[in-house]
Amino acid sequence: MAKVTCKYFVNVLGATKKDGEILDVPDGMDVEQFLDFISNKYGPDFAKHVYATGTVAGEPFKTPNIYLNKRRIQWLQDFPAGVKTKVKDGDEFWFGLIVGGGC
Amino acid sequence: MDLSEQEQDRYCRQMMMPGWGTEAQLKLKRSRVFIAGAGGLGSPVAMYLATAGVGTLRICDCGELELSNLNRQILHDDTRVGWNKAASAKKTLERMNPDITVEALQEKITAGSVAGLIGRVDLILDCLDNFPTRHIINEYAVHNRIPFIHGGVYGMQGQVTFIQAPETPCLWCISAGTPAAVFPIVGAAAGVIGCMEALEALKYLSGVGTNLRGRMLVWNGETTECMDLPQKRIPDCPVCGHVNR
Repeated sequence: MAKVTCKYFVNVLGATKKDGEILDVPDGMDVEQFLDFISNKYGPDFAKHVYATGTVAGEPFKTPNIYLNKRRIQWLQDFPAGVKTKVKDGDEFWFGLIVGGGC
Repeated sequence: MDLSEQEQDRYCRQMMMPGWGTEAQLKLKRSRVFIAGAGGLGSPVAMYLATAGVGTLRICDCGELELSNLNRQILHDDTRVGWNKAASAKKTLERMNPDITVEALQEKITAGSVAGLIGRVDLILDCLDNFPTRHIINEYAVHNRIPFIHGGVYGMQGQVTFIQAPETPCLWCISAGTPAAVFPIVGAAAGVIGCMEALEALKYLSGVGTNLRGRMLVWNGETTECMDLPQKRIPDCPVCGHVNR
């Protein structure tokens, strides 16, 4: 099992009721599987912040909205396998970091 | 273009800044800035750019002022509930500094209207409350090579970054966004993030100081902590991935 640190920021605190925890993750799990696992754990109010959806450049998208070890999973320079990157012992995930209010 | 005696007097304290002087002040006077939103972020942004002497402020908001806005939207007051926010902003800003030009746009920013609303400006400031509209502006900014300052806030937390793709990541590279919702917000937190955006704008326009390029400052007002996160471009970004340096 890998020990993974999860930090929860304002967008998801309503769902998690805590600002962080350490989870045991089965060896061999990738990021996509881990995101499914934690989305199931905390339900739809959490899951809606794990993936962002919308339209950009005229195309619909669905993409993870999380940080792993202070980096976005979409930065292929850091994560060539993207969401298929294997979760490792000591990894740190951030959920709900980027906020969208302003009005 | 020159500075009048009144302008020299009005701006003398910022002109004392090393490297600022008349030259930087004239740069501000010649500048044309688009402010998307006249709410919690738009209020401090517009007020500090106006009082600093940014020559033309083009402020856009299609919303009407409600009483529940007034804990944070300090451009407005009780007497203007029901007014369009851009029109209210124009009235306040022209009172604060009669030497500048304020254009109030009362339309909704959409993929179809964005070009006509923003036009050619030196800088765009994101003072919006939703990511779909932010991404419309991001696309326009990237394709027209206009620098774009992003800010967001929720409760007592917020973030700010300076975007000038392709030299920096664009907004898409940094965040795909969060679902729109009615959220808690403390007015002073919007003030902090809005002031950071205004300062980023003044540094860029004046040429004094360095901007948050390729970095995002995340500020947690609840614990009074800051994180300075390096940002990177997404190689296959659908917005800026094909734009060459």
